[in-house]
Amino acid sequence: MDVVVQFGPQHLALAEPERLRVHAEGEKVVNVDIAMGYNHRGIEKLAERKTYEQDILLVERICGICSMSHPVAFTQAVEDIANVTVPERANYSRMIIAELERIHSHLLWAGIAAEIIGIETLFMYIWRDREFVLDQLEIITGNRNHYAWNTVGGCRKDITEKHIPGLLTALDVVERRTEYYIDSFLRNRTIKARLVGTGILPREDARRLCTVGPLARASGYAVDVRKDDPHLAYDKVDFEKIVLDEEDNMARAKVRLLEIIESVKIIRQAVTALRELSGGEIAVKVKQIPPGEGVGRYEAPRGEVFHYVRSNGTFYPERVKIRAPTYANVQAVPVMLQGDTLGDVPITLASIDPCFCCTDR
Amino acid sequence: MVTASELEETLRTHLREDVLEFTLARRNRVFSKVRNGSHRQAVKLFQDMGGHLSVITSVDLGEELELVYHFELHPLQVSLKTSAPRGNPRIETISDIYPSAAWYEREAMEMMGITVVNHPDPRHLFLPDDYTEYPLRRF
Repeated sequence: MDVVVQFGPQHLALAEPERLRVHAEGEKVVNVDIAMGYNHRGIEKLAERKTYEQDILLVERICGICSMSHPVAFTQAVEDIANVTVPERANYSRMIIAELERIHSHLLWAGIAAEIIGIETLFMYIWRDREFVLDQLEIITGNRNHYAWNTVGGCRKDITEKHIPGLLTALDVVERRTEYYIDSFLRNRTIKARLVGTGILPREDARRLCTVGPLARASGYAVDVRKDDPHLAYDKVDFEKIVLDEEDNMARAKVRLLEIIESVKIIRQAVTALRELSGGEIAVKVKQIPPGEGVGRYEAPRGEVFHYVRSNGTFYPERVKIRAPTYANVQAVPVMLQGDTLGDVPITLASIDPCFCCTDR
Repeated sequence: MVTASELEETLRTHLREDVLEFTLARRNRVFSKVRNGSHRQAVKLFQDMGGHLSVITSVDLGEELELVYHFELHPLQVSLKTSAPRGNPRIETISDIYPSAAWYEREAMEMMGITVVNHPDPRHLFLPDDYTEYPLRRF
């Protein structure tokens, strides 16, 4: 007999409101219907009523975790319209903040995954180490999230020599601890029992449903905007695109944890480059945005953030379209859940690292 | 790998005079406009080239309502536009070609009031079911 189980809008496994209507036969999931919109704030409409400078701060507030990714994608689109080339130094400093954001977002995810699996000690440990990154972000930008780092044409603030020793020390700590967590995820019996072989998203489905980010890369669909459409200084640093073909929840955990190590590598190279560029400009002045259209893409921690901006030559944009990674990925959840048991629903949903405030806007 | 000139040639061969605009902007951004109805043929061509659908944007142009389909055709980023008159904004679905388009079209239907023809599931996505206005339209 078909039973309908409601997950949400308020659910223990979710930090944000979202409703899943899970059709089950006994313990087995047959179909899933997803209802969105509990977090809809009309940001796209609001963006048409604000100036470009104000919009940067507005899109930053779409999400607390991706608060660097959205402005980077938005400014990219606007800088394309204005035909502005951002100074090298601004590119590197934007990249450092964005990669620090990736590290703390992936650690946040690993902690939540540990908690959903039921290992609260691991959750506490991981979130303690995430604080090292947040502290650095606070020292450099003045805030743990919502950095207000970007402006059209560059950065508003600069990373100076006094920030660098603390940053490098924090990176050493995070790298060492992440290696320990990779080892824990790979060896712990409980984690393996919950993650291996659950929430399978076949490679063909990942491609067909146009998924992005770690979800796609864990299913062998190698999309990464940092490599495919390099922006900032990603074509000047050496790092690996982590792609696995195991297709299950464990692969997604591995992709994220291994990406932390890659992010540490990127930041170290960027710091070296920044030291060589010391004294350089951090922003160019942009007077007016001409009519036109631009597309900005950035690989946020959860996947590709997509911004489309259309300008009509006034101070206000004609249209701003924002597509967050979860919007693309959540459509794969019904495929991932089919055939699994009801007990796997929370961890499989969490494995896409959902961000519903990004999706609803 | 496809270059912008190859893409333009392919589009013009298959769609002929239905290709209304084709421009190449900075950093491999391509913007193209096609006549309403022939967009499905263009989308099928993109699918054969291994395109990745990023999102669909709806825009209010005043007299007309426009849909912009954003594709990644490595290394190009293609924005394919098509529009329909405001009085009767009917544009056919592409969700049978790209399943993930279904949700983006649902958003365009509820926010901009575009009638997506043959859509498999035309419910509201973000707005409440009984909401009858189109918030992204300009007045």
